[in-house]
Amino acid sequence: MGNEQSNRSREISRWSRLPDKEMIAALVRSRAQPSPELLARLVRHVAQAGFDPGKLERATDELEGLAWRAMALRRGDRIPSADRHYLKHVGVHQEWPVGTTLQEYLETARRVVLHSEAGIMASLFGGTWRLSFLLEAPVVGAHHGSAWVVVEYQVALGHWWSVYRPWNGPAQLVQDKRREEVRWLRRLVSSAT
Amino acid sequence: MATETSLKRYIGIDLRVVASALVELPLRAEEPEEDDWSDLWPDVMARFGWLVDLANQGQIEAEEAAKCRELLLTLRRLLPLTEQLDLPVPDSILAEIGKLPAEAVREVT
Repeated sequence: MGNEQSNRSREISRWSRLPDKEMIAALVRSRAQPSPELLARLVRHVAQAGFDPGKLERATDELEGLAWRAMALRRGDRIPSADRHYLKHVGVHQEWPVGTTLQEYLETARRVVLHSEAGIMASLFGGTWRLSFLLEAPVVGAHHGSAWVVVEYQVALGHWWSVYRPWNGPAQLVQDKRREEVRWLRRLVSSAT
Repeated sequence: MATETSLKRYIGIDLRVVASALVELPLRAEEPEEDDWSDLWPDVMARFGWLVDLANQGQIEAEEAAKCRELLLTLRRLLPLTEQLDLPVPDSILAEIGKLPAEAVREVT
């Protein structure tokens, strides 16, 4: 066994003992490729992480007037993160068919993360590490935008950061020059990038 | 393939999406928020590009084309903020902005 491989084994063994969130942070910062076992743990953790239930986000102009919990949203209202993302991408952008529920939107995200063919990309964006899960996931019914779904996980936060259908598919993320240290923990099966 | 009705609806959606992003831009320059707004800027620009292409091909109504042009004028005014906030504007959109007439210059006498 060479030195490099021996060091990697020691690192993986050390990371294996960390809780999921810390293990993911160490793995992403190390720039090492994960073992199949660590990758499986990473996927399971991200799939159940969801949006941060304690985070409130500001409703922007485009959400104004939308019905939310028996009231009409006003610009500047603070609403739970999951609700804001759902209202934006399903309610306004119609990236999912009209009538898609919040639970169905979140379930799509979970399925994408758990799918064995989803690409998993690590990158540094604005000084924070991200994991982006990308999968072509068509839905039945008319919707606006591409068939691709991105689930973005914010490593320091330990929760989903964004779930949407990128207009230009994976290229939209890969070609974004603001993303640094881009590397694939699992490559996309498709040649879309 | 989108039907004519759904195409019109999607054009309306994207006009709203782009307009909203341009309303939000100066607010972000004043006070950053902890959310994905900046991440999704390329998505807004891609939608804007789609609208501009439709307008150039004469596939949208005059009122929608006028709105599209108004948004290009607004974006031109806000270009310094896009640089300040590191929000990339695609070359195709910049080329469209370049085709707009020069802004009226007020003469001070």
